[in-house]
Amino acid sequence: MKRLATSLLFALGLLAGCDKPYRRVAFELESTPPTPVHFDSDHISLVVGVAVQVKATPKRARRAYDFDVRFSLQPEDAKLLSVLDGQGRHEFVFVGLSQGSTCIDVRVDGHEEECIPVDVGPAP
Amino acid sequence: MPTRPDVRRGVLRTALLGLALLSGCPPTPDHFQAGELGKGTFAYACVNGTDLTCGSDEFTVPFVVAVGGRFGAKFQTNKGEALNVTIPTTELVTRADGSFRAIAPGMFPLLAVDGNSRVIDFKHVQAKKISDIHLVSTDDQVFPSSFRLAVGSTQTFTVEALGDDGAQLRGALDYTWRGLDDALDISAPNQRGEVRVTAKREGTSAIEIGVLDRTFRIDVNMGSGRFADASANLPGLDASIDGAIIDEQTDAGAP
Repeated sequence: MKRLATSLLFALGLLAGCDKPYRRVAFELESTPPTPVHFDSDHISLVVGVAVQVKATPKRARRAYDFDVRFSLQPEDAKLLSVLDGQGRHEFVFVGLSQGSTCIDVRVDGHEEECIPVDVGPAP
Repeated sequence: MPTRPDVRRGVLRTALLGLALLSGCPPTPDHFQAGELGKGTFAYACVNGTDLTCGSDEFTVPFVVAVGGRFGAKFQTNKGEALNVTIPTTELVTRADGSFRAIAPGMFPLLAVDGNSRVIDFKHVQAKKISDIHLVSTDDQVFPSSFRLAVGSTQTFTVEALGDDGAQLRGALDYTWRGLDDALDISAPNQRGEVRVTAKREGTSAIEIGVLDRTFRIDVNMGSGRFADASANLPGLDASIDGAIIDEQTDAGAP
């Protein structure tokens, strides 16, 4: 009986999302920047003066986030990098403003999940 | 003998031309370029008549501006909606009084934004330093290094800025004109950047034209009536100086 209750509680916990929900952000380039850029879950690099639009999708371990999950990307140093909302859902436009290193705060449903390192290189 | 409709058309045309001149830009079509997200088209917008590329049919692409030159931009979605264009302030470009100004060579994006501050489209723009200048007479003759002028005659010029590849650069720029001596009478630039140069006596002289942190020199040969006004680089003329740089200071001179 005790074992059954424990199993039930564990199953309910999983259904309620009590497993570690956030895993990473998947990036998909939606524009062709004039200089090479790099976007992955662990690291981003672009150069000063270049804009690029990406679709960013938060991922978690077991099941997808709800469609209307609140999701934002904010640069820690807004002097180096600008991240603007694009037209579509989870579309963002990154613009390198000044050379240096910073990171992007990933917030999902109001929780700060991680800060992805970003390098902004010199203007080409 | 002009008919009444002819006269009416003439008056209308003159009035339109006058309005265009007052606004500082000739009445020519915009030059559109597709945004990189395919949501609409960008157009170059001249700030004032000193931008020699204002309204010119020749300068559709590429979209290259002079470092220090002021310019504007417009955007229209594919559905015909006009949106604001802005530029993120970077170490390469600034915004002021509704216009933009590149402050260093490089690249920067024009961003078309909607009422919710969402970026709908963007377009990268190249900025280049001015490598050379040419004088352009009102009859569209180009004088890269020197010109001839008959004593007592006057010619009107504007300046075109060129990049290192010889292509004309866009943007409104403030030029300073100075005669090397009193052999030339040089007027102040008007709203369209036009300057009138009058030869006062025979001989040679030069004009120094300053823009940002650079000064360029154009030689002037003045003679009697045998000289055609502003004849371009005739054989035997000194063509050794091609808009020569005679004084170059630091790069930080861009306002």
